[in-house]
Amino acid sequence: MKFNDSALGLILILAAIAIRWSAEGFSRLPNQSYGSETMPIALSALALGLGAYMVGQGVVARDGLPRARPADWVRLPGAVPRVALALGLVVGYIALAGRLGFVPVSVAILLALMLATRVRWWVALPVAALATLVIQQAFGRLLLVPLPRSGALGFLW
Amino acid sequence: MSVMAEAFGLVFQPFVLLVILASAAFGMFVGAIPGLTATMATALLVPITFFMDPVPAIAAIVTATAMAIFAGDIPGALLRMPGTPASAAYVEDAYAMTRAGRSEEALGAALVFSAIGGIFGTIVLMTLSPVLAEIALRFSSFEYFWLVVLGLSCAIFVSPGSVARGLVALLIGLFAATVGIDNPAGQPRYTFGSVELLAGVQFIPAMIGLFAVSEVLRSFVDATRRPAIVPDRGSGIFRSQWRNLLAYPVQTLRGSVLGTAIGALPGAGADIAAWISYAVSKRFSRTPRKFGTGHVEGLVEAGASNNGAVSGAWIPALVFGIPGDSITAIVIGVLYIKGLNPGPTIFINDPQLIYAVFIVFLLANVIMLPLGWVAIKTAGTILAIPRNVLMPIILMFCIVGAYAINNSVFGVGLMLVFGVLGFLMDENDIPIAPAILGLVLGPMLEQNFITSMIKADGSFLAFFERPIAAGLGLFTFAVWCIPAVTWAMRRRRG
Repeated sequence: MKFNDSALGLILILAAIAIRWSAEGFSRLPNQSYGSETMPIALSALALGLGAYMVGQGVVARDGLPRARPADWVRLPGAVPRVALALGLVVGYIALAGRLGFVPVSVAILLALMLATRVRWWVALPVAALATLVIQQAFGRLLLVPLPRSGALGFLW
Repeated sequence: MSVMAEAFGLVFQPFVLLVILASAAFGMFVGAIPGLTATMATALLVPITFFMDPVPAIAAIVTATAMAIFAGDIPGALLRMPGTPASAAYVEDAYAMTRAGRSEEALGAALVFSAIGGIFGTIVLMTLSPVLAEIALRFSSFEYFWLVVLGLSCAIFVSPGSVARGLVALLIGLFAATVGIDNPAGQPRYTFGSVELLAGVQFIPAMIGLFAVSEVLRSFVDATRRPAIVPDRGSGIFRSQWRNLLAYPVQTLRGSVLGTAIGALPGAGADIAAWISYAVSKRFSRTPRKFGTGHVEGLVEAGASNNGAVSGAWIPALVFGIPGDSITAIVIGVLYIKGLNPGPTIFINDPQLIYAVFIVFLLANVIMLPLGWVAIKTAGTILAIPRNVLMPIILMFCIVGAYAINNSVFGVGLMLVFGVLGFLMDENDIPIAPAILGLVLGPMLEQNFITSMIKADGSFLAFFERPIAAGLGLFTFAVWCIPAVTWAMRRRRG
């Protein structure tokens, strides 16, 4: 999604109002005029000023009203599903790695992404398995990162 | 036997030299993986150093740190994924050079000028450490406030594109830095009931998301339409560096001096040093418009600066026992474990140990050249791997890197959010670098601003009452005026 200057300015103004409003709930240090609210208030003032400037600049440059349009890549065949797949697979890792273990989830993610970008399956499968093994050994064994273990593949750790 | 001879005797032992070599390889490995920092390399070494004598223990940490800071440039230059925050300052130039088939020249510059900066910093550490530490100790919250504001201002002015969009990026970073309980009143801000967010937005997952995940997502848009990365056209790792040194002697010296000085300030490490040096380089360059497009000048100066800062950070740590950055904070802990009390007394009680540390610093920066050569040559093969095979693997590295920070999938979620944000920012020509610096320096800015305001009883004039603070403040205002002055000069010229 691409925003013009006026649209970005408008988003900033709305964000400034939201931050300023949220800062009302923060407290000050005892007997002081400053506290948790100071930084959000300062940021909201800066965002408001910058937003107004960008809207004004958009108007002066005859950029017109705030506008947002889809980026050019959205029209490319298969682009949106591929990006959605990548995002979905990361969400899948968050949801499933704890239950299934690092190794099977990693192999599945790598395989799915490579197949989606037209890598041949007989290349994708060994690469996915080898890359997973290298990452598991480097992080799990050498750097002692407690990657989620898989029941049957626990010997790798 | 003189103290120096004793120090040489302590360092030049087969075991110590072996430790230096092994930790150099380890630092190179950790630094080259996006998401794993020099601090993490140091932290991972602590349990191993526990079983060593003081000299090999310190040698392991010094060598691994110096290597990791340089190695952070490798994924930055090859994949636009800075391995450490210090490499983020000049990642656009390094990556643009790679795209132009000059990856070896870019990495060679990072390697050679890192070594020069590191050796310069060590010489300063050996000769001027007590004097510099005294100056650094005079810094109060006012000076730190201006230093942070200067760093943030530099990030905006060095970023490509309009100042307004640079400011948008900075606001995003500063806002993300307000999340959590680490604020003056200790009140949870924007945590929405999440226990993990109480600790704030973790910097590493955010950096991996903004730089690496956004780039991976872009590669999935359409690999065939993106200009392919050009394999190196024989630019050479060392061949062009002599020419660069002759072309940019002032930049090399200025980066080394500034990096060492900034590193010596407690709390200001290699990250701030690299950013400020890059900005200074662009400000005084004859060709500022080339910055960000694959110009080696900023890389030379900032590369010298960040390794200079690594050495500089040891000045307050050794002389006063005050850590210059997170790495020296860990080192101070190690020294205490070894029964050594960092501070003025260590120079009196164990001078041979201090000189041994200095020798190790010199060795680490010299050994960096051959080991760095091997690392660059090995890493260069990454470019030969098809992007549709490489990018999924990079994404997996990113996931594990983000997970490793707290051993929790929360880091992976954070990485994903910032990845999407980075993707949208890139699409709207909003630079990523100021957001990163805003996130890193936000807490320091808030803390020093509020401390100063309380000290000054709300008077802004107090920010200019101390000479160094006034100097830094005026310099910051001068940096702010640059766009207006440039605009006026252009108008005058017609």
